[in-house]
Amino acid sequence: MQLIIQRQPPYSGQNAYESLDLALAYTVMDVECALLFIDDGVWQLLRSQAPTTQKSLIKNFAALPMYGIEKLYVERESLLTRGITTSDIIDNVEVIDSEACRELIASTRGVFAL
Amino acid sequence: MKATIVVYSAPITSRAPFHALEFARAWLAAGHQIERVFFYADAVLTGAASAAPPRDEFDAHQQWELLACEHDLDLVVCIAAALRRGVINNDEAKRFQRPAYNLGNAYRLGGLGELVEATLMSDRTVSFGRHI
Repeated sequence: MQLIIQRQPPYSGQNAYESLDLALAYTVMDVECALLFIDDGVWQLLRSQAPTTQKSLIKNFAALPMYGIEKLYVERESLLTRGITTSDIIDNVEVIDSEACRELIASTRGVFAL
Repeated sequence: MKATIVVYSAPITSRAPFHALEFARAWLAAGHQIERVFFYADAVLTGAASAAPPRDEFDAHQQWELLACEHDLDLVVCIAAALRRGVINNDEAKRFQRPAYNLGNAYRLGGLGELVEATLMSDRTVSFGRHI
């Protein structure tokens, strides 16, 4: 499995989109891929986001299962320190603690963190 | 052992292309091979032959070109990321009717599939971004 770590906030450049493109490139070639959101990357998951001039990340995330990306993880500590609750973020994201993040990274064949 | 090297961050504003180059030199010196070097996100600027840093500063474009010529390396610049940032080869310049092209001769444009393919064929994939 390939793991793509998102740690940059949304709408601050191309980072979030290019990380997603990378994930899709792996699934297109039949390599299982998961996304992990840590640090400021957790802001990408806010359900209330409504961008006016950039492509909506929410729409991209909603389409991920169609492309075979079903595993989205978010680090609990990153949410807590930013005052974000699980009801603030989109559905189908598994909240895991930092210890579980370490295990996830260690058990993955490849990790990219743009 | 075979490695794929991935670079994410730009020359000048980050040290990623420099660190990646140092790693590549050490890896080759240890008798290993490099399957492909893939420049993604802001690192695509490494492919721009139009950059002209002062002589006493590190020239990522030129240094990677030298290493590639010496070891016959495959330097691939992500086409989608490159076109967004103004790194373009002759074919794409014609296609998009742009006044000039700037991709260096030692580099070629390619898709993300070539990164995936290279990582699957390598024993190791080592990536370099702004965080290291």
